[in-house]
Amino acid sequence: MLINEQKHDNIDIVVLSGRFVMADSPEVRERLKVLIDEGQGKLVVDMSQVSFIDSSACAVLISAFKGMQLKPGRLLLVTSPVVQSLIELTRLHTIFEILPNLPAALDALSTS
Amino acid sequence: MIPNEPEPAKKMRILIVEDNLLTRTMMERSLQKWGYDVVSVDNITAAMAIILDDKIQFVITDWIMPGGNGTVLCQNVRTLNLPFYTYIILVTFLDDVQSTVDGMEAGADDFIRKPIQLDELHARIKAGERILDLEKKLQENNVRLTELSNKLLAANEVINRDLKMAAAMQRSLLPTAGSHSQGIAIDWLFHPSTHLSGDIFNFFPLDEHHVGFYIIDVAGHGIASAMHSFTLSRLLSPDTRCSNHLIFSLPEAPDYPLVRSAPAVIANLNQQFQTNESNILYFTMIYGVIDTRSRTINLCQAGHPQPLYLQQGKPAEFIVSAGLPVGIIDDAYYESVQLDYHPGDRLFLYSDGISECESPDGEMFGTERLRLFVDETRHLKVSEVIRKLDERINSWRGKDGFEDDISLLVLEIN
Repeated sequence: MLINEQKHDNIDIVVLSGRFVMADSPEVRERLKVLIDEGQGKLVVDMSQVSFIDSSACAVLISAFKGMQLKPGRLLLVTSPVVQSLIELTRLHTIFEILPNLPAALDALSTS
Repeated sequence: MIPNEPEPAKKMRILIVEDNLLTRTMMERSLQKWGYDVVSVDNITAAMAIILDDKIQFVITDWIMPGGNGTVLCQNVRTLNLPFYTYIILVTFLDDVQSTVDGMEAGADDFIRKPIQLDELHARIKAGERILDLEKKLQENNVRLTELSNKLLAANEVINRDLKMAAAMQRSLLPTAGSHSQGIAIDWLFHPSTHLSGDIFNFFPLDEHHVGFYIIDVAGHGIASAMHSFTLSRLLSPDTRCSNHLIFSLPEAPDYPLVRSAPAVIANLNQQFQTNESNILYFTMIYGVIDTRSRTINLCQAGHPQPLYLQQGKPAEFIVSAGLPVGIIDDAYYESVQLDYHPGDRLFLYSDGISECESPDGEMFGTERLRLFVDETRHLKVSEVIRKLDERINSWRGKDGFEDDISLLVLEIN
Protein backbone atom coordinates (compact mmCIF):
# COMPACT_ATOMS: atom_id res chain seq x y z
CA MET A 1 0.00 0.00 0.00
CA LEU A 2 1.08 3.61 -0.59
CA ILE A 3 0.80 6.34 2.02
CA ASN A 4 0.90 9.92 0.83
CA GLU A 5 0.70 12.91 3.15
CA GLN A 6 -0.45 16.33 2.01
CA LYS A 7 -1.38 19.55 3.66
CA HIS A 8 -4.12 21.93 2.60
CA ASP A 9 -4.01 25.10 4.74
CA ASN A 10 -4.33 23.73 8.28
CA ILE A 11 -5.87 20.43 7.18
CA ASP A 12 -3.76 17.28 7.12
CA ILE A 13 -4.60 14.81 4.39
CA VAL A 14 -3.45 11.20 4.25
CA VAL A 15 -4.10 9.48 0.96
CA LEU A 16 -3.96 5.70 1.15
CA SER A 17 -3.98 3.48 -1.91
CA GLY A 18 -3.78 -0.25 -2.57
CA ARG A 19 -4.49 -2.93 0.00
CA PHE A 20 -4.81 -1.67 3.56
CA VAL A 21 -4.25 -4.74 5.75
CA MET A 22 -2.59 -5.98 8.92
CA ALA A 23 0.95 -5.64 7.57
CA ASP A 24 0.43 -1.89 6.90
CA SER A 25 -1.44 -1.17 10.11
CA PRO A 26 1.49 -0.26 12.42
CA GLU A 27 2.92 2.29 9.98
CA VAL A 28 -0.41 3.94 9.17
CA ARG A 29 -1.28 4.00 12.87
CA GLU A 30 2.00 5.73 13.71
CA ARG A 31 1.68 8.30 10.89
CA LEU A 32 -1.92 9.14 11.86
CA LYS A 33 -0.93 9.45 15.52
CA VAL A 34 1.82 11.96 14.70
CA LEU A 35 -0.58 14.00 12.54
CA ILE A 36 -3.24 13.98 15.25
CA ASP A 37 -0.75 14.93 17.99
CA GLU A 38 0.98 17.67 15.98
CA GLY A 39 -1.81 18.85 13.67
CA GLN A 40 -4.58 21.38 14.02
CA GLY A 41 -7.31 18.84 14.76
CA LYS A 42 -8.35 18.60 11.13
CA LEU A 43 -7.54 15.34 9.40
CA VAL A 44 -8.83 13.65 6.26
CA VAL A 45 -8.03 10.01 5.51
CA ASP A 46 -8.69 9.55 1.82
CA MET A 47 -9.24 5.85 1.05
CA SER A 48 -10.93 6.31 -2.32
CA GLN A 49 -8.03 4.35 -3.89
CA VAL A 50 -8.02 1.52 -1.34
CA SER A 51 -8.82 -1.81 -3.00
CA PHE A 52 -9.11 -3.98 0.12
CA ILE A 53 -9.31 -3.36 3.84
CA ASP A 54 -9.32 -5.76 6.78
CA SER A 55 -10.31 -5.52 10.42
CA SER A 56 -6.81 -4.59 11.64
CA ALA A 57 -6.94 -1.62 9.28
CA CYS A 58 -10.35 -0.70 10.70
CA ALA A 59 -8.82 -0.87 14.18
CA VAL A 60 -6.30 1.78 13.05
CA LEU A 61 -9.14 4.04 11.87
CA ILE A 62 -10.95 3.59 15.18
CA SER A 63 -7.79 4.36 17.11
CA ALA A 64 -7.39 7.57 15.06
CA PHE A 65 -11.07 8.40 15.59
CA LYS A 66 -10.66 8.07 19.37
CA GLY A 67 -7.40 10.05 19.33
CA MET A 68 -9.13 12.86 17.46
CA GLN A 69 -12.06 12.86 19.90
CA LEU A 70 -9.64 13.37 22.78
CA LYS A 71 -7.77 16.21 21.06
CA PRO A 72 -10.57 17.35 20.29
CA GLY A 73 -10.71 17.56 16.52
CA ARG A 74 -12.41 16.13 13.47
CA LEU A 75 -11.43 13.08 11.46
CA LEU A 76 -13.13 12.75 8.10
CA LEU A 77 -12.98 9.68 5.90
CA VAL A 78 -13.34 9.35 2.15
CA THR A 79 -14.08 5.75 1.21
CA SER A 80 -13.99 3.49 -1.83
CA PRO A 81 -16.96 1.10 -2.29
CA VAL A 82 -14.96 -1.79 -0.76
CA VAL A 83 -13.99 0.25 2.30
CA GLN A 84 -17.52 1.59 2.65
CA SER A 85 -18.96 -1.91 2.57
CA LEU A 86 -16.68 -3.20 5.36
CA ILE A 87 -17.37 -0.10 7.43
CA GLU A 88 -21.11 -0.63 6.99
CA LEU A 89 -20.87 -4.34 7.69
CA THR A 90 -19.31 -3.60 11.06
CA ARG A 91 -21.74 -0.68 11.65
CA LEU A 92 -18.83 1.74 11.97
CA HIS A 93 -20.52 4.19 9.57
CA THR A 94 -22.66 5.15 12.55
CA ILE A 95 -19.66 6.73 14.26
CA PHE A 96 -17.32 7.78 11.42
CA GLU A 97 -17.86 10.99 9.50
CA ILE A 98 -17.71 9.91 5.86
CA LEU A 99 -17.66 12.32 2.92
CA PRO A 100 -18.14 11.36 -0.76
CA ASN A 101 -14.83 12.82 -1.99
CA LEU A 102 -11.74 14.78 -0.97
CA PRO A 103 -12.98 18.25 -2.06
CA ALA A 104 -16.16 17.73 -0.04
CA ALA A 105 -14.10 16.72 2.99
CA LEU A 106 -11.81 19.75 2.66
CA ASP A 107 -14.82 21.97 2.24
CA ALA A 108 -16.40 20.56 5.40
CA LEU A 109 -13.24 21.15 7.41
CA SER A 110 -12.45 24.63 6.10
CA THR A 111 -15.88 25.95 7.04
CA SER A 112 -15.86 24.29 10.46
CA MET B 1 59.12 -2.98 20.88
CA ILE B 2 56.39 -0.57 21.87
CA PRO B 3 53.78 -2.33 23.97
CA ASN B 4 50.35 -2.78 22.37
CA GLU B 5 51.72 -2.18 18.92
CA PRO B 6 49.75 -4.34 16.52
CA GLU B 7 51.72 -7.31 15.26
CA PRO B 8 52.94 -6.84 11.69
CA ALA B 9 50.79 -8.69 9.16
CA LYS B 10 52.01 -12.22 8.65
CA LYS B 11 54.09 -12.56 5.49
CA MET B 12 52.28 -14.44 2.79
CA ARG B 13 53.92 -17.68 1.82
CA ILE B 14 54.40 -18.20 -1.93
CA LEU B 15 55.41 -21.46 -3.54
CA ILE B 16 57.55 -21.26 -6.67
CA VAL B 17 57.56 -24.31 -8.95
CA GLU B 18 60.29 -23.90 -11.55
CA ASP B 19 62.75 -26.44 -12.99
CA ASN B 20 65.12 -23.80 -14.33
CA LEU B 21 67.54 -22.96 -11.51
CA LEU B 22 68.38 -19.49 -12.78
CA THR B 23 64.77 -18.36 -13.15
CA ARG B 24 63.89 -19.94 -9.81
CA THR B 25 66.68 -18.15 -7.96
CA MET B 26 65.84 -14.84 -9.60
CA MET B 27 62.18 -15.16 -8.56
CA GLU B 28 63.05 -16.29 -5.02
CA ARG B 29 65.23 -13.26 -4.45
CA SER B 30 62.74 -10.80 -5.87
CA LEU B 31 59.84 -12.21 -3.84
CA GLN B 32 61.91 -12.16 -0.65
CA LYS B 33 62.88 -8.58 -1.38
CA TRP B 34 59.17 -7.73 -1.70
CA GLY B 35 58.57 -9.22 1.73
CA TYR B 36 57.13 -12.64 0.93
CA ASP B 37 57.96 -15.92 2.59
CA VAL B 38 59.16 -18.08 -0.28
CA VAL B 39 59.45 -21.85 -0.77
CA SER B 40 60.49 -23.33 -4.04
CA VAL B 41 60.63 -26.73 -5.71
CA ASP B 42 61.49 -27.95 -9.20
CA ASN B 43 58.64 -30.42 -9.90
CA ILE B 44 54.89 -30.69 -9.39
CA THR B 45 54.96 -33.79 -7.16
CA ALA B 46 57.02 -31.99 -4.53
CA ALA B 47 54.82 -28.91 -5.07
CA MET B 48 51.63 -30.84 -4.37
CA ALA B 49 53.07 -32.24 -1.13
CA ILE B 50 54.01 -28.76 0.12
CA ILE B 51 50.64 -27.26 -0.87
CA LEU B 52 48.88 -29.91 1.20
CA ASP B 53 51.27 -29.87 4.17
CA ASP B 54 51.68 -26.09 4.47
CA LYS B 55 48.23 -25.10 3.16
CA ILE B 56 49.84 -22.94 0.50
CA GLN B 57 47.43 -20.34 -0.91
CA PHE B 58 49.68 -18.79 -3.54
CA VAL B 59 51.59 -20.68 -6.25
CA ILE B 60 53.66 -19.43 -9.18
CA THR B 61 54.38 -22.35 -11.44
CA ASP B 62 56.24 -22.84 -14.69
CA TRP B 63 54.15 -24.37 -17.44
CA ILE B 64 56.45 -26.88 -19.11
CA MET B 65 58.47 -29.02 -16.72
CA PRO B 66 59.84 -32.57 -16.74
CA GLY B 67 57.69 -34.86 -14.60
CA GLY B 68 54.45 -32.92 -15.18
CA ASN B 69 53.33 -29.54 -16.45
CA GLY B 70 52.04 -26.59 -14.44
CA THR B 71 48.56 -27.18 -15.91
CA VAL B 72 48.52 -30.66 -14.34
CA LEU B 73 49.37 -29.11 -10.98
CA CYS B 74 46.45 -26.69 -11.46
CA GLN B 75 44.07 -29.54 -12.26
CA ASN B 76 45.24 -31.59 -9.28
CA VAL B 77 44.78 -28.70 -6.88
CA ARG B 78 41.32 -27.90 -8.20
CA THR B 79 40.21 -31.55 -8.20
CA LEU B 80 41.03 -31.89 -4.51
CA ASN B 81 38.53 -29.14 -3.70
CA LEU B 82 40.62 -28.00 -0.73
CA PRO B 83 39.02 -26.15 2.18
CA PHE B 84 41.19 -23.09 1.36
CA TYR B 85 41.61 -21.37 -2.00
CA THR B 86 44.96 -21.59 -3.78
CA TYR B 87 45.72 -18.82 -6.24
CA ILE B 88 47.84 -20.02 -9.16
CA ILE B 89 49.88 -17.98 -11.65
CA LEU B 90 51.16 -19.92 -14.66
CA VAL B 91 54.49 -18.82 -16.14
CA THR B 92 54.78 -19.52 -19.85
CA PHE B 93 56.65 -18.99 -23.09
CA LEU B 94 53.50 -19.85 -24.93
CA ASP B 95 51.86 -16.87 -26.50
CA ASP B 96 48.68 -18.02 -28.18
CA VAL B 97 45.01 -17.82 -27.30
CA GLN B 98 44.56 -21.60 -27.12
CA SER B 99 47.27 -21.90 -24.44
CA THR B 100 45.57 -19.26 -22.34
CA VAL B 101 42.25 -21.10 -22.68
CA ASP B 102 43.89 -24.41 -21.76
CA GLY B 103 45.57 -22.84 -18.75
CA MET B 104 42.37 -21.27 -17.49
CA GLU B 105 40.40 -24.45 -18.02
CA ALA B 106 43.00 -26.32 -16.00
CA GLY B 107 42.29 -23.89 -13.16
CA ALA B 108 44.95 -21.16 -13.40
CA ASP B 109 43.99 -17.74 -12.09
CA ASP B 110 46.53 -15.66 -13.97
CA PHE B 111 49.46 -15.85 -16.42
CA ILE B 112 52.81 -14.22 -16.78
CA ARG B 113 54.98 -14.55 -19.82
CA LYS B 114 58.67 -15.28 -20.00
CA PRO B 115 60.95 -13.47 -19.96
CA ILE B 116 59.53 -12.30 -16.66
CA GLN B 117 59.29 -8.56 -16.13
CA LEU B 118 59.73 -8.12 -12.38
CA ASP B 119 57.42 -5.11 -12.10
CA GLU B 120 54.70 -7.07 -13.86
CA LEU B 121 55.25 -10.08 -11.62
CA HIS B 122 54.95 -7.93 -8.52
CA ALA B 123 51.76 -6.31 -9.81
CA ARG B 124 50.22 -9.70 -10.60
CA ILE B 125 51.12 -11.07 -7.17
CA LYS B 126 49.47 -8.05 -5.53
CA ALA B 127 46.35 -8.56 -7.65
CA GLY B 128 46.27 -12.19 -6.52
CA GLU B 129 46.64 -11.11 -2.90
CA ARG B 130 43.64 -8.83 -3.26
CA ILE B 131 41.57 -11.70 -4.61
CA LEU B 132 42.67 -14.01 -1.79
CA ASP B 133 41.81 -11.30 0.69
CA LEU B 134 38.31 -10.96 -0.77
CA GLU B 135 38.00 -14.73 -0.79
CA LYS B 136 38.94 -14.83 2.90
CA LYS B 137 36.41 -12.15 3.78
CA LEU B 138 33.75 -13.95 1.79
CA GLN B 139 34.49 -17.17 3.61
CA GLU B 140 34.35 -15.45 7.00
CA ASN B 141 31.02 -13.88 6.06
CA ASN B 142 29.72 -17.24 4.91
CA VAL B 143 30.64 -18.78 8.23
CA ARG B 144 28.89 -15.94 10.07
CA LEU B 145 25.82 -16.24 7.85
CA THR B 146 25.65 -19.98 8.34
CA GLU B 147 25.91 -19.53 12.11
CA LEU B 148 23.22 -16.85 12.02
CA SER B 149 20.97 -18.91 9.81
CA ASN B 150 21.34 -21.90 12.15
CA LYS B 151 20.44 -19.73 15.12
CA LEU B 152 17.42 -18.34 13.29
CA LEU B 153 16.27 -21.80 12.30
CA ALA B 154 16.60 -22.98 15.89
CA ALA B 155 14.70 -19.94 17.19
CA ASN B 156 12.03 -20.41 14.54
CA GLU B 157 11.68 -24.03 15.56
CA VAL B 158 11.09 -23.02 19.18
CA ILE B 159 8.51 -20.41 18.16
CA ASN B 160 6.74 -22.84 15.87
CA ARG B 161 6.59 -25.47 18.57
CA ASP B 162 5.12 -22.91 20.98
CA LEU B 163 2.59 -21.78 18.40
CA LYS B 164 1.53 -25.34 17.66
CA MET B 165 1.03 -25.99 21.35
CA ALA B 166 -0.99 -22.78 21.70
CA ALA B 167 -3.03 -23.71 18.62
CA ALA B 168 -3.86 -27.09 20.17
CA MET B 169 -4.92 -25.28 23.36
CA GLN B 170 -7.10 -22.96 21.32
CA ARG B 171 -8.81 -25.88 19.59
CA SER B 172 -9.42 -27.50 22.95
CA LEU B 173 -11.51 -24.45 23.91
CA LEU B 174 -13.94 -25.10 21.06
CA PRO B 175 -17.11 -27.11 21.68
CA THR B 176 -17.26 -30.73 20.53
CA ALA B 177 -18.47 -30.91 16.94
CA GLY B 178 -21.69 -32.92 16.68
CA SER B 179 -22.53 -32.35 20.35
CA HIS B 180 -25.99 -31.24 21.50
CA SER B 181 -27.72 -29.75 24.47
CA GLN B 182 -31.44 -29.51 25.23
CA GLY B 183 -32.40 -30.49 21.70
CA ILE B 184 -29.97 -28.16 19.93
CA ALA B 185 -27.12 -29.74 17.97
CA ILE B 186 -24.01 -27.94 16.76
CA ASP B 187 -21.25 -28.40 14.24
CA TRP B 188 -18.51 -26.10 13.06
CA LEU B 189 -15.64 -25.20 10.74
CA PHE B 190 -12.45 -23.54 11.95
CA HIS B 191 -9.37 -22.55 9.93
CA PRO B 192 -6.92 -20.14 11.56
CA SER B 193 -5.01 -18.11 8.95
CA THR B 194 -1.81 -18.72 10.91
CA HIS B 195 -1.34 -21.20 13.77
CA LEU B 196 -3.45 -19.06 16.06
CA SER B 197 -6.79 -17.45 15.40
CA GLY B 198 -8.54 -14.32 16.56
CA ASP B 199 -11.82 -16.18 16.02
CA ILE B 200 -13.44 -18.19 18.78
CA PHE B 201 -16.91 -19.63 19.38
CA ASN B 202 -18.67 -21.79 21.89
CA PHE B 203 -21.97 -23.42 22.82
CA PHE B 204 -22.98 -24.53 26.33
CA PRO B 205 -25.98 -25.07 28.62
CA LEU B 206 -26.62 -22.11 30.93
CA ASP B 207 -29.18 -23.89 33.13
CA GLU B 208 -31.90 -26.56 32.68
CA HIS B 209 -33.75 -24.65 30.00
CA HIS B 210 -31.27 -22.14 28.61
CA VAL B 211 -28.43 -22.69 26.18
CA GLY B 212 -25.87 -20.02 25.31
CA PHE B 213 -23.67 -19.59 22.26
CA TYR B 214 -21.31 -17.04 20.86
CA ILE B 215 -18.95 -16.33 17.99
CA ILE B 216 -16.21 -13.72 18.29
CA ASP B 217 -13.77 -12.28 15.77
CA VAL B 218 -11.00 -10.19 17.31
CA ALA B 219 -9.68 -7.59 14.82
CA GLY B 220 -6.56 -8.75 13.01
CA HIS B 221 -5.29 -12.27 13.34
CA GLY B 222 -2.27 -14.00 14.82
CA ILE B 223 -0.89 -13.95 18.34
CA ALA B 224 -2.22 -10.65 19.71
CA SER B 225 -5.73 -11.38 18.47
CA ALA B 226 -5.55 -14.96 19.75
CA MET B 227 -4.49 -13.83 23.23
CA HIS B 228 -7.55 -11.62 23.31
CA SER B 229 -9.79 -14.48 22.18
CA PHE B 230 -8.36 -16.75 24.94
CA THR B 231 -9.28 -14.19 27.57
CA LEU B 232 -12.78 -13.78 26.18
CA SER B 233 -13.29 -17.50 26.05
CA ARG B 234 -12.48 -17.77 29.77
CA LEU B 235 -14.79 -14.90 30.64
CA LEU B 236 -17.71 -16.17 28.59
CA SER B 237 -18.13 -19.28 30.68
CA PRO B 238 -21.36 -20.47 32.26
CA ASP B 239 -19.29 -21.66 35.22
CA THR B 240 -19.94 -18.99 37.86
CA ARG B 241 -16.69 -19.91 39.58
CA CYS B 242 -14.88 -18.49 36.50
CA SER B 243 -17.05 -15.52 35.67
CA ASN B 244 -20.43 -13.93 36.27
CA HIS B 245 -20.74 -12.55 32.76
CA LEU B 246 -23.35 -15.06 31.64
CA ILE B 247 -24.96 -16.15 34.89
CA PHE B 248 -25.29 -13.88 37.88
CA SER B 249 -27.32 -13.56 41.03
CA LEU B 250 -28.78 -10.59 42.83
CA PRO B 251 -27.37 -9.68 46.25
CA GLU B 252 -30.78 -10.29 47.85
CA ALA B 253 -31.00 -13.81 46.37
CA PRO B 254 -27.45 -15.13 46.08
CA ASP B 255 -28.59 -18.74 45.60
CA TYR B 256 -30.92 -17.96 42.75
CA PRO B 257 -28.82 -17.79 39.55
CA LEU B 258 -30.14 -15.74 36.67
CA VAL B 259 -29.28 -15.90 32.99
CA ARG B 260 -27.99 -12.57 31.73
CA SER B 261 -29.64 -11.34 28.54
CA ALA B 262 -27.61 -11.25 25.32
CA PRO B 263 -27.48 -7.42 25.02
CA ALA B 264 -26.47 -7.12 28.70
CA VAL B 265 -23.60 -9.58 28.22
CA ILE B 266 -22.28 -7.62 25.24
CA ALA B 267 -22.80 -4.23 26.89
CA ASN B 268 -20.73 -5.43 29.87
CA LEU B 269 -17.94 -6.66 27.63
CA ASN B 270 -18.05 -3.34 25.81
CA GLN B 271 -17.49 -1.49 29.08
CA GLN B 272 -14.69 -3.82 30.04
CA PHE B 273 -12.82 -3.96 26.73
CA GLN B 274 -12.72 -0.38 25.47
CA THR B 275 -9.89 0.07 23.00
CA ASN B 276 -7.22 2.59 23.88
CA GLU B 277 -3.69 3.68 22.93
CA SER B 278 -2.08 0.42 24.00
CA ASN B 279 -4.82 -1.95 22.89
CA ILE B 280 -6.54 -1.13 19.62
CA LEU B 281 -8.03 -4.57 19.09
CA TYR B 282 -11.81 -4.30 19.05
CA PHE B 283 -13.88 -7.39 18.35
CA THR B 284 -17.10 -8.25 16.63
CA MET B 285 -19.39 -10.86 18.14
CA ILE B 286 -22.78 -12.44 18.37
CA TYR B 287 -24.06 -13.75 21.65
CA GLY B 288 -27.27 -15.68 21.86
CA VAL B 289 -29.42 -17.19 24.58
CA ILE B 290 -31.80 -19.98 23.63
CA ASP B 291 -34.81 -20.51 25.90
CA THR B 292 -35.70 -24.14 25.28
CA ARG B 293 -39.03 -23.81 27.17
CA SER B 294 -40.42 -20.86 25.23
CA ARG B 295 -38.55 -22.10 22.12
CA THR B 296 -37.00 -18.75 21.35
CA ILE B 297 -33.52 -17.57 20.44
CA ASN B 298 -32.49 -14.10 21.59
CA LEU B 299 -29.37 -12.95 19.90
CA CYS B 300 -27.40 -9.75 19.98
CA GLN B 301 -25.05 -8.70 17.22
CA ALA B 302 -22.04 -6.43 17.76
CA GLY B 303 -20.61 -5.50 14.37
CA HIS B 304 -20.45 -9.16 13.37
CA PRO B 305 -21.55 -10.40 9.92
CA GLN B 306 -25.29 -11.03 9.89
CA PRO B 307 -26.14 -14.62 10.79
CA LEU B 308 -28.21 -16.73 8.41
CA TYR B 309 -31.42 -18.35 9.58
CA LEU B 310 -32.83 -21.26 7.63
CA GLN B 311 -36.40 -22.33 8.38
CA GLN B 312 -38.42 -25.16 6.87
CA GLY B 313 -40.14 -24.07 3.67
CA LYS B 314 -38.61 -20.60 3.59
CA PRO B 315 -35.52 -19.22 1.87
CA ALA B 316 -32.49 -18.65 4.09
CA GLU B 317 -32.55 -15.11 5.47
CA PHE B 318 -30.13 -12.76 7.16
CA ILE B 319 -30.90 -11.75 10.72
CA VAL B 320 -30.44 -8.02 10.64
CA SER B 321 -29.72 -5.98 13.72
CA ALA B 322 -27.46 -3.07 14.43
CA GLY B 323 -24.76 -2.94 17.05
CA LEU B 324 -21.24 -1.55 17.00
CA PRO B 325 -18.27 -3.86 17.47
CA VAL B 326 -17.21 -4.24 21.10
CA GLY B 327 -14.68 -1.69 22.37
CA ILE B 328 -15.38 1.22 20.01
CA ILE B 329 -17.41 3.62 22.15
CA ASP B 330 -18.26 3.02 25.76
CA ASP B 331 -21.90 4.11 25.64
CA ALA B 332 -22.79 1.95 22.63
CA TYR B 333 -26.33 0.57 22.73
CA TYR B 334 -27.02 -3.10 22.11
CA GLU B 335 -30.35 -4.76 21.46
CA SER B 336 -31.48 -8.26 20.72
CA VAL B 337 -33.47 -9.93 18.00
CA GLN B 338 -35.87 -12.72 18.96
CA LEU B 339 -36.46 -15.78 16.78
CA ASP B 340 -39.19 -18.36 17.39
CA TYR B 341 -37.72 -21.65 16.37
CA HIS B 342 -39.11 -24.92 15.06
CA PRO B 343 -37.63 -28.37 14.59
CA GLY B 344 -35.27 -28.50 11.62
CA ASP B 345 -34.35 -24.79 11.76
CA ARG B 346 -30.70 -23.97 11.29
CA LEU B 347 -28.74 -20.91 12.41
CA PHE B 348 -25.40 -20.15 10.75
CA LEU B 349 -22.90 -17.87 12.48
CA TYR B 350 -19.70 -17.11 10.56
CA SER B 351 -16.72 -14.78 10.57
CA ASP B 352 -15.89 -12.32 7.78
CA GLY B 353 -13.00 -14.64 6.87
CA ILE B 354 -15.66 -16.53 4.86
CA SER B 355 -17.58 -13.64 3.32
CA GLU B 356 -14.37 -11.73 2.51
CA CYS B 357 -12.41 -14.74 1.29
CA GLU B 358 -10.88 -13.61 -2.02
CA SER B 359 -10.60 -15.68 -5.18
CA PRO B 360 -7.35 -15.44 -7.19
CA ASP B 361 -9.05 -12.64 -9.22
CA GLY B 362 -9.71 -10.66 -6.04
CA GLU B 363 -13.45 -11.36 -5.98
CA MET B 364 -14.92 -11.83 -2.50
CA PHE B 365 -16.97 -14.92 -1.65
CA GLY B 366 -19.65 -12.62 -0.30
CA THR B 367 -22.62 -13.13 1.99
CA GLU B 368 -25.15 -13.70 -0.80
CA ARG B 369 -23.17 -16.63 -2.19
CA LEU B 370 -23.10 -18.07 1.32
CA ARG B 371 -26.86 -17.56 1.69
CA LEU B 372 -27.55 -19.39 -1.57
CA PHE B 373 -25.22 -22.19 -0.52
CA VAL B 374 -27.04 -22.62 2.79
CA ASP B 375 -30.33 -22.64 0.91
CA GLU B 376 -29.22 -25.16 -1.71
CA THR B 377 -27.78 -27.59 0.82
CA ARG B 378 -30.81 -27.60 3.16
CA HIS B 379 -31.57 -31.27 2.38
CA LEU B 380 -28.09 -32.38 3.54
CA LYS B 381 -26.99 -33.24 7.06
CA VAL B 382 -25.24 -30.34 8.80
CA SER B 383 -21.90 -32.20 8.90
CA GLU B 384 -22.19 -32.70 5.13
CA VAL B 385 -23.08 -29.02 4.58
CA ILE B 386 -19.95 -28.02 6.48
CA ARG B 387 -17.75 -30.44 4.57
CA LYS B 388 -19.08 -29.10 1.26
CA LEU B 389 -18.68 -25.48 2.34
CA ASP B 390 -15.10 -26.21 3.34
CA GLU B 391 -14.47 -27.60 -0.15
CA ARG B 392 -16.24 -24.65 -1.74
CA ILE B 393 -14.29 -22.01 0.19
CA ASN B 394 -10.99 -23.77 -0.45
CA SER B 395 -11.63 -23.99 -4.17
CA TRP B 396 -12.80 -20.33 -4.15
CA ARG B 397 -9.55 -19.36 -2.49
CA GLY B 398 -7.62 -21.34 -5.09
CA LYS B 399 -4.43 -21.60 -3.04
CA ASP B 400 -3.21 -22.91 0.30
CA GLY B 401 -3.92 -20.90 3.41
CA PHE B 402 -6.37 -18.09 4.13
CA GLU B 403 -5.69 -14.40 4.60
CA ASP B 404 -8.05 -14.14 7.56
CA ASP B 405 -9.31 -16.63 10.13
CA ILE B 406 -12.29 -18.67 9.06
CA SER B 407 -14.94 -19.88 11.45
CA LEU B 408 -18.49 -21.11 11.13
CA LEU B 409 -20.80 -22.34 13.86
CA VAL B 410 -24.05 -24.05 12.88
CA LEU B 411 -26.91 -24.69 15.33
CA GLU B 412 -29.67 -27.08 14.37
CA ILE B 413 -32.93 -27.57 16.21
CA ASN B 414 -33.82 -31.25 16.66
